Amino acid sequence: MSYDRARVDSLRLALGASLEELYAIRGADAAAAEVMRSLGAARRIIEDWLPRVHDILNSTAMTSCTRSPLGTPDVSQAAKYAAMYHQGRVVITDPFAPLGPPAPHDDDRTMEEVFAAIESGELQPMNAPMDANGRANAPYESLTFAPSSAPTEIGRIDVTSLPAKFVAFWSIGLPVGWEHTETLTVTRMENVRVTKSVHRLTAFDRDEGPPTIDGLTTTSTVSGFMITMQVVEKGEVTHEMQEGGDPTAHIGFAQQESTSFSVAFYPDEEPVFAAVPAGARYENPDVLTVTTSASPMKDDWGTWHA
Amino acid sequence: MSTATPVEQLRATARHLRSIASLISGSRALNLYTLAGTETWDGPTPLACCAALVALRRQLLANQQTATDIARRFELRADLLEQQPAVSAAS
Repeated sequence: MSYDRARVDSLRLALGASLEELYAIRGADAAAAEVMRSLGAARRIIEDWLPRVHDILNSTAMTSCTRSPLGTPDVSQAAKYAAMYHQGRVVITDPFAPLGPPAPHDDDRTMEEVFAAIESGELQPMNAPMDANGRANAPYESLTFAPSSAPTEIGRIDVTSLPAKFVAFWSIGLPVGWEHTETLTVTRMENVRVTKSVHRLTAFDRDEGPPTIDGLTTTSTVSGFMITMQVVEKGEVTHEMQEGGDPTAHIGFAQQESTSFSVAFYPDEEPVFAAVPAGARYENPDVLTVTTSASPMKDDWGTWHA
Repeated sequence: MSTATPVEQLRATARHLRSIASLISGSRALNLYTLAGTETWDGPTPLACCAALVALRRQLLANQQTATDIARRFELRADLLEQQPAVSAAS
């Protein structure tokens, strides 16, 4: 893609200003509820695009490169190419090409409305993958979600318990610090490809993940709401930099951070899984994999929240 | 006198809705799509962005129309309520 930096920057500023204007429109009156709801959906369109425009302006595609061997065209000639074919515009590889823009969807529910639909039973969770229940050599399933377009984040809330916030606050400035945060995110996913793989519970390399049993992998395409709970634990041992100086200035000795997540998916309709033909396949690398196992089977896997 | 408060309420709601409609019609968001054309950028993502901003304009114009329509309904009801004492007094 090519762009005019000054114009894209104007677009970015206009998007930001428009968003502020739309947020300033308020209407608590019940008669204005329908209009306000629709305005919320309009705001989300801008909220979806603003970070993308920002990312395009900040793309390092033109500032970081590896030189090709002598005589081979590379990115160093891009400026000349741009001058010749794009009238001085910046030429970059579209950073969103693999996923494209967020898919348009008619379901413009707010986070509260999604939770209400779940409580009322209108939205039903997808069937949980089969669990090995800790039995050696027993089969179990993993579900991999590969979005076909960028998911739309509907909302996120900090659900960290008060005691955890209290501990994090009081450990500021102490030699041993501990921080525990829990974030709940609701995301709308359109036409996400769900792949169900079957594994056998055996010892394996946590970096590589468990081997998949051939011939049992099935897949389906489905749209729906994903609820993700992300837990981040951060521990730190520090030492005061200067005795009698700023009591909050510390130098870190050791720091450890771990992130885990659990997921629940509420499809528009229960997906029907079909067998995947054997052979090499192209997969979206931006995937999320979960199992029902109490401890994730691979380091970057999450757990299925039943 | 007994209808004064409901009439005032209806007119206040109508005024509020008209102010929302006016804010929408004055919003810069309506013309964002003009900044996202091919003179700004080219490619699949820009094309999708421009389409989204055209859809945003349509949505905002529909919102403005809805707010105006509801306001008009409230004003009509207020007018009717105001005429009622005069009609009953005349009969």
